[in-house]
Formats: sequence, C-alpha cells, structure tokens
Amino acid sequence: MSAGSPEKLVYMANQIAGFFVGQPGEPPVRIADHLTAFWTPPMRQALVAYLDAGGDGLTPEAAEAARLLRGVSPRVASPKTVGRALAASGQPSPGRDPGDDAG
Amino acid sequence: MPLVREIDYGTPASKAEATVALTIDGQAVTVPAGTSVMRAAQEMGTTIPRLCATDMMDAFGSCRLCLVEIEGRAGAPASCTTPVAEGMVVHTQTPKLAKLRKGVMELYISDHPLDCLTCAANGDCELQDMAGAVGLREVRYGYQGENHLDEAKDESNPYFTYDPSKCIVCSRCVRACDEVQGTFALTIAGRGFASRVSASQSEPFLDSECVSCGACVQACPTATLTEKSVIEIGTPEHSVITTCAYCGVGCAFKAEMRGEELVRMVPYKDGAANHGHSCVKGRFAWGYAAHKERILNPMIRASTAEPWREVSWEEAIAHTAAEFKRIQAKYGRQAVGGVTSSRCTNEETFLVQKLIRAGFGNNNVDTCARVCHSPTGYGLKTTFGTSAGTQDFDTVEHVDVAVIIGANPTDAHPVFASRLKQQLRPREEGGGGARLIVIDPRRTELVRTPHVHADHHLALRPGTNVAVLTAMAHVIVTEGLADEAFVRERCDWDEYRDWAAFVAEPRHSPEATEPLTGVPADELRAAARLYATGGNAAIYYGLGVTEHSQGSTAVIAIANLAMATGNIGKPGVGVNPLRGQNNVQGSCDMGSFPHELSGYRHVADDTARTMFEELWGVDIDPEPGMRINNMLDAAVEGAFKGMYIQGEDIMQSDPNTSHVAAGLEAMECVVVQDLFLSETAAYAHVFLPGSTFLEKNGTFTNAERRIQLVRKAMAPKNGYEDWEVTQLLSNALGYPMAYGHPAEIMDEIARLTPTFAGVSFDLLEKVGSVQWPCNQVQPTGTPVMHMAGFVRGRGKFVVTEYIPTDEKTGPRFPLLLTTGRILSQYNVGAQTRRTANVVWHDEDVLEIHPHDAEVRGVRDGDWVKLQSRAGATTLRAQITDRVSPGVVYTTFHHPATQANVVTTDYSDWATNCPEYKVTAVQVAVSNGPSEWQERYGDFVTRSRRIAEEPKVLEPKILEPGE
Repeated sequence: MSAGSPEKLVYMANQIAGFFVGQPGEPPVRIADHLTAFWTPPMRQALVAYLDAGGDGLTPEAAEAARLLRGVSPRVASPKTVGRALAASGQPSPGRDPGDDAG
Repeated sequence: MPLVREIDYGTPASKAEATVALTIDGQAVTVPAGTSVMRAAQEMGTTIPRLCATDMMDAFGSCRLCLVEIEGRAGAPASCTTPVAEGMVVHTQTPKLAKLRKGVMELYISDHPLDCLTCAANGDCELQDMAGAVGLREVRYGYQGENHLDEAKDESNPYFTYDPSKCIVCSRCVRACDEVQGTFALTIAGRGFASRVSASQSEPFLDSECVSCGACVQACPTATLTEKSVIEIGTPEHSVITTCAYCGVGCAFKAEMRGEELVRMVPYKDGAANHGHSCVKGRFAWGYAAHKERILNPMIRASTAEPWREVSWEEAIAHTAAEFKRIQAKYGRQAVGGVTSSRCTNEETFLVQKLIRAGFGNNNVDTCARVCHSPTGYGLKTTFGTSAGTQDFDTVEHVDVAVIIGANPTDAHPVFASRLKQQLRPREEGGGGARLIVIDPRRTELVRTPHVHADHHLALRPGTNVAVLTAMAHVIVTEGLADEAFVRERCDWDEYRDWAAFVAEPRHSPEATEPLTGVPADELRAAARLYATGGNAAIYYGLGVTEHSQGSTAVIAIANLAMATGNIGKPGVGVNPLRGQNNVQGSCDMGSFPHELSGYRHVADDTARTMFEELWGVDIDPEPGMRINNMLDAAVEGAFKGMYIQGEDIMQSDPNTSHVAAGLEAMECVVVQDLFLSETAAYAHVFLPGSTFLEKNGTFTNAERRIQLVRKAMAPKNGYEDWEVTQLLSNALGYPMAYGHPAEIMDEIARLTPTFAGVSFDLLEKVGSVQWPCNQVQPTGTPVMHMAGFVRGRGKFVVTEYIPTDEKTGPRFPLLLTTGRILSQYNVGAQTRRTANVVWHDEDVLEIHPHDAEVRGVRDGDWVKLQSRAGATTLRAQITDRVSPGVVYTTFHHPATQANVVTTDYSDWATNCPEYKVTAVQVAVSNGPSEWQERYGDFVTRSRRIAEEPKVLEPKILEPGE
C-alpha cells in the first residue's frame, strides 16, 4: 500500500507538530500518538523511512516523533506502545481515549 | 397511514405554568394561563369557526367568525384574542352567534368565486368548511356587486400560484412570512375594499423578496396560494411521515400521496426540529426523484472510454464482486476502500462501513464529513469528550446572545435560521430580544435583515478565525470576565490556568491581531464582552470554521470560549455545529471514519473492537485505514485500485478537482451508487442505481443528534433500497448479510454502540424522535449534553496558537476566494439542479467588491477567469459590497463552473478537512471557458454515453404462415 508522496507526509507531519509544540507535555509523544491514531501503518513507515534517509525538512519535533515511531517495528508502532509512552508522560490521547464511547 | 390532518388549535400554546379553570359549553376545562378561549375550546375538542386564526402564529382577530359569548361580558368577543380567565363561562354556539357568523360568511362569499367543484382546494378549503359550519344557505347580497373576481393570477413562482380572486384578506400569509419565516416579503397593500396581498412592492412573487419557504401556502385557508402540484394532480389521499433529505436541520414532513404519486410535501407540526416550518428545498424541490436523467438500471463498462452498457442487477453485482476480489488478490487487501454517504440513512451507512471492515477486511472507509465537519469531531471530542453539538434547536428560545461564526443559516439551514430570527427580533415586536454577533468575512443576510441586525459584525480576513477567537479569549481573561467558578467546578483548573496565561499574552490582544485579522480591536472587544456578560450565549458555527488548515484548532478555540464563560451544560448556551448534509452527523456516528467504529471508538480500542469481531465473526484491523485523500494519493501512486462510493460526488465536492480526477482515473474499478450520472460517475466502471429518501426506510440523524425515521412512500424506482444493494454486494463478496428490514440493522447498531443502546424503530415509532445518547440512563434521549458534567470528565482547555495558512496571497494571486452555499441549491446540486430551483440560481457567480472589480475592468455580469495555483475556471461576476475588498466568493453547485478546480490541497492539520475557505486567486476579464472546462466538458459528454442495445424481443411462437 502506498503512503502518499514524502513531501506530502512531511508537510502533514510538520503541520501536526505545529499544533502540538504549543501544548504542554512532551510534544513528540503527542505527535507520535496523533500519527498512530490517524495515519495508516504504511504512512508512518514511510515517514520513518524518510527520517532514516536524512529527514530533510522535518521540524525537530516531527522528526523526534518519527524517531519514537521507529522504536517499535514491525508494526511501526502499536497503539498500545504509544499509549504507554503517553500515559507515562501524563497526557491523555486526543485521538483515542480507550474504551470511551463519548460519541 | 390515512391523510394526516393535524389539529389546529387556532392560537399558539401558552408557556405559562399557572393554570386557569373555566367552563366552555357547560364543560369544565383547565388550561395554562394566557391560553386563548379558542385554544381552550379546541383542547376539549370543540372547534370554534375561524378563518384568520391558526396555531402557527399569534392571534390577529380580523375575520370576526370566532365570536363567542361570555357570561357577564357584553357583546361577542373574538375567541382568538380573548385569553381565558378564572371562572369564565363561555358559550361557543348560541342563536345570536350563529346569526352573526352567518352574516360574516355571507359577506365573504359575496366576493368569492363559486367554482368549488373545479377549485384546486376543493375538499381542502377552510372557507368551504366554514360556510358549511355556519350553515350558510344563501347570500342575500347577490354576487353582482363590486368584487375582485377578475383579478389575474400570478403564476411566476415555479411551485405555487397566487390567485387574488380567491383571497379573503385574512393576512395569514403575511403573518406566516413575518412571524414564522421572518422574511417580511408580504404585506397587505391598499385599504378597506382595495386591500390586497402584495409581494414586496406589488411585484410578481418570483421577483419579490419571497424565499419560497411555503409557509404562506400552508397558512392560506383558501385556494389563493396553492401548490402547482395540487392544481395538476388533485388533493392527496394518504400521508407518510418522513424526514427531509436536504440539510442537517432534519425537518419532518408529511409526504402527501395519491397512490404512489407524491402530491406535495408539507412540514409536519410534530417534527421536533422544524415544528411545522420548511424551506424551498424540502417543501418543493423533490422533483428530482422522478427526473428523466435518473438512472434506473445498473450499468458496467471496462473503461471510461467506453459507453455504458445496461446490465441486470445480478450481472452488475457479480461483476463488481469479481473485480474487487481480483484487485485484492493482485494488489493486496488494502488496495480497495469505500465512501459512505451522508445523504443515505444510518442503516445504509453502517452497512457500507461493515462491508468494508468485514467484507473487504480493511478500514479504508471514509465519508463526506472528511470535507466538512471532521474538525468538529476532533475538536469537540478533545475538549468536551463528545463529537457532536451540545444542544437541541429548541434551546434557541433561551438564548440571550447568539454568535454565528462561519455559517450562513438563512441560506444553508433556513428553518433553523427562522427560529433564530424569531429569537433575535426585538421583544416589542414579539421576538426574543436576543443580541447577535456575526463573525464572517461576508456580510451575510443575518447581519442586516428585516427586524434583525447584528450588534457586531467581525468581518475578518479569511483564514484568521483562530486569531480572532483567541483575541476574544484574551479580552475575556484579561478583563476578568471568565466564569472561574464554573471552570473550577467543571474543568481541569491547571489546564485552564495554562490556557488563560497563554491567551493573556499581549500578542493575542485585539490590538495586536488587528493587522492580520482586519477586525477593528474595539469592535472585537465589544463583541467579546457581550458574549461573556450578555446572559445565555450560544455559538452556532459552520464550515467557515472547519474548512481551514486550522479548522480543528478553531473548533477547540470555540469550545474554550464556551467553557471559560460557563456557556455550556444548560439550555440557551452551548457549541452548536450546523451540520451540512441531512445525515452527516449520522454518517459520523455510524463509524464511517477510517480510524473509528460506530460511537467514535478507535479501532485500536480492544474492548470495542472485540465486540464487533465477535458479532461479525471476523478480525478487524486494529490500525486506522485511509482517508479519502489518502486513497486518492495512493491511487495516483498505483497502490489503490478499487472504490465503492455510495451517494457522494467526490469529483465535484472535493478539493483540487484535477487531483481527484487523476486518482479516479488511476483506479481499475470505481463503483458509484447514485441517482444520477454524477461527475464522479464519469470516472466509474460500475454504476449501481440508488434510491431516493422517498423510496426507503431508515433513520437520519440531524445536527442536534436527533434520530428520526425515514419512511418509504413509494417503491424504489431502481428496484432496491440502497442498503439492499450493499447487502447484495456483500453476499457476492462472500461476507453474508441477511437483513430483512433496516430496523434489524438499527438493532445491531444499538447492540454495538452504547450511545445508541436504547434506540429502536419501535421506540422511534412511539416517541417520534430521540437525541443520542439514548440508553438506560437517558431512555428518551439527551436534548442538552454535559448538564451534570462533561462527557470526558473534566472539560479540557487547549492552547490555540494561530498558525497562518500556507496559502498566501501575493502579486500573482492577490485576492482570497472563499466558497459557500445559496438557499435554493444544495451542495453539488445533483438534486436541486434537477428541479425548478434553477430559476433562482442557474449558474455559480463570483461575488467581487466594486473596488476590486473596477481595478480589473470587470463589469457586473462579465465573464471572468478565476485562477489559483491549482487551476482556473470561468464564471460570471456579480459586483457587490457583501464581500470586503480583497475577498471574492462563489458557490459550488454547478459542475459547469466547478469551483473546486481552483481550490487547493491544503487541509486541516488534524483531520485533513480541506481548506475550501481560503484560496489565493486572481480574477481577470475572460471571453471563454478555461482549458479545464473545455477538456472536462468533452470528457464528461463522452463518458456519459449509454450504448443503445438492440431491444431483446419477447420469445414468440410463430404461427404457420406468419
């Protein structure tokens, strides 16, 4: 499965990072959580691969988030892994509060 | 069911809690104080004759027919204008009253054509009924006196006629236009015998300010204002109560039928969203259902270069299933996906996502909310814990300050706009006296409309919502206007303090942000103070908030404002997204997004996913699937090959048309299930004909989370309801489904979705409608959310840094284009363009400020080329100061213009909702269509060809000698 062009992914990752850098907590973890919640595994893989190839154009926080995702192949990052990292940082996940059926 | 005739109580219900006891015709009756004698009598089952009274509007007291006698009072007062009093003794029928009423009726009938047998209202005429009720047997004055019988009909409106010869000047139409609709287009011109109903300045209805909502036609007691369909067909004989398939207001209608022929749609008074009102679309624009361009047979073709070939349902379904299987075998499980429709029912939407998750075995499902309100879902879930608006529409009656942001309700949500206008009119004129703040780059109608004007119109530069909203928060926090007691009780205090410190920074002040937003600082300060201190303040917003690169941030900023001022969790306040399509709320609720199951539970949520896996007997991918834009990107790159698109026209509605076209062209099997050969269908390989809302059972969920039944009024002209087609396809794909009725699908939804746990067709039949959450705790639904506390626990304040869009104006593209809707047309126009609504809007035009027009040499009506970095189109210019200098505006209803050729790929950071509302453009005088328009026009014409198959003759036994 394709993941979209690297330029597009970098743009989107930076855009997401742009929101989270202003937030309390650890922005890279929250960015990684957002990517895990909303991006397909191939998109995340492509971002990690892009980082490994130099990562030109990624903001520092977006690059750090990609690095977090890299830690947990082959699934790139399981939601649980990021969830644990997130819980450790004391931040709730905006994308997927587990078990929540808030509507 | 038989023809539904709702009881008309004559005057509106009193809202008083105190009651009054009286005697009417010897019967004791107790009613709320302030009730009219007429209504009190009706409540005990006695109809007092009347002509000018109806319970949709205030008593008027002009027809003199509803007279009663009250013991101890002189004369015969009008029962409509006389309120009940304790101990009152009323007689509704006495010899004196009978004589008086007969006399009144004689006068009416002496100036009325006696053509009852050939009159369109025969059998449905209150004048006729009253003549019968009062026992009119002769008219002593004769019929030769001065009269109005020769007055000419006005047939200019495509949907109704105005026949002044039948008018009794009861003023019901005028009052309906004023009180119910709020347009004030009608008046009574002249005096005494010369009094006549007049549209605007005695203009034909079509040329007047009339918006064709139909309220006057509904109110008319005679055949003066009559639906043309009734004139043509005759009166209806049975009714089907159903829900409108246009916008997110969710009006309930009586589909009034003669056999399987729809005679007219009349708004249903028991409809909890519309209370008997309607707009031109729902009331009149249903002719598309029988339009000659509707496709009724399935069609397939190997490539879009070939003409379509009509085939049987069996062949079409077998072919489609085979194609999807082939593609998945060759390119992998993830190479196919689908789009659910916000125009279809909850049950149909649920089934499509089930087909994709269980049948295709992936999560590549998305819906049109991606391009409209996905930021609402993200923003409100993050802050409040719920992906939906907080109030019901009725809450507007308790609003003291209304804030309308990036929404144009009079055009896009007209029936709600009428309710809102009632609340905004001054108290001394019978309105609610609420104040109004409009935040919009355009001077929308609500900014100044009869008897309503905005206290503050913040005409911001497109793309600066977050800066404006954060500046409002700055004023509220720095001027000490926040409701800290509410925040301490309901929200996370530490997060609030972080947020308050952030918004209080001087860089967020109105003075500091004025240069970027274009909003005068003092005006913004005044608006923020009014919002924070003006009483119950409710925010209503639309796509002008969401369709930006910071759409989700803006939704969060709105939620922050509501929490900081305590405007949440009670009637008359809240955060109210005005949802665009009829079932866009429902399509989101039903699990149409690639990352979540029904009820907004992430696919990675093991507890939720396991429930589905157990019931469906399949493994569900715990990873999010592709969004529409991801699917198109992947298609362009060759990895995504097949798509099942139910009832959406992504080619016209999604941004950057040429990119969408490239994606669709790259696929091997595009399946479109729709009513017409849409723009997307031009790129399709399989066309499965869809059914209209009149031809199916199911439910829609409106913008206030209200679940309402859609009832079948006629058999599907295409042979199947849309859910049946999905079921056929699923079975052919090897994932069995065996639903017998949509009620069974709803039962499954209720089993799997805690917020829908109490919902069933039986319940909806019984109570009419419910607003989710509907479960054991809230068995009849939840009109207002977060009453006792936020759904997520504590309300979450989130910092909202303004990040300007990367779509920048510059020397080549100096203007900002923003897009929207118009009253008479709906979305991509597939339905409304195939109705007489085109008389109001037969092409998209470009609104441009006189200054910008002048420097470009553009005159009103000129063809202009609208060029952005993404593409160009041509359309006619309309010079108006509704838009500010530097801003141009158009609608996206017509494929000939295709405004989305011009819009870009920029999108919301969190949800990829496209940035439709900000495109840098240049405008220049043009003398012809753009290259894209010419190329596309040729392509679509070729692509829509249907092969003329030789007719298959019935087998015939030849006789000797023949």
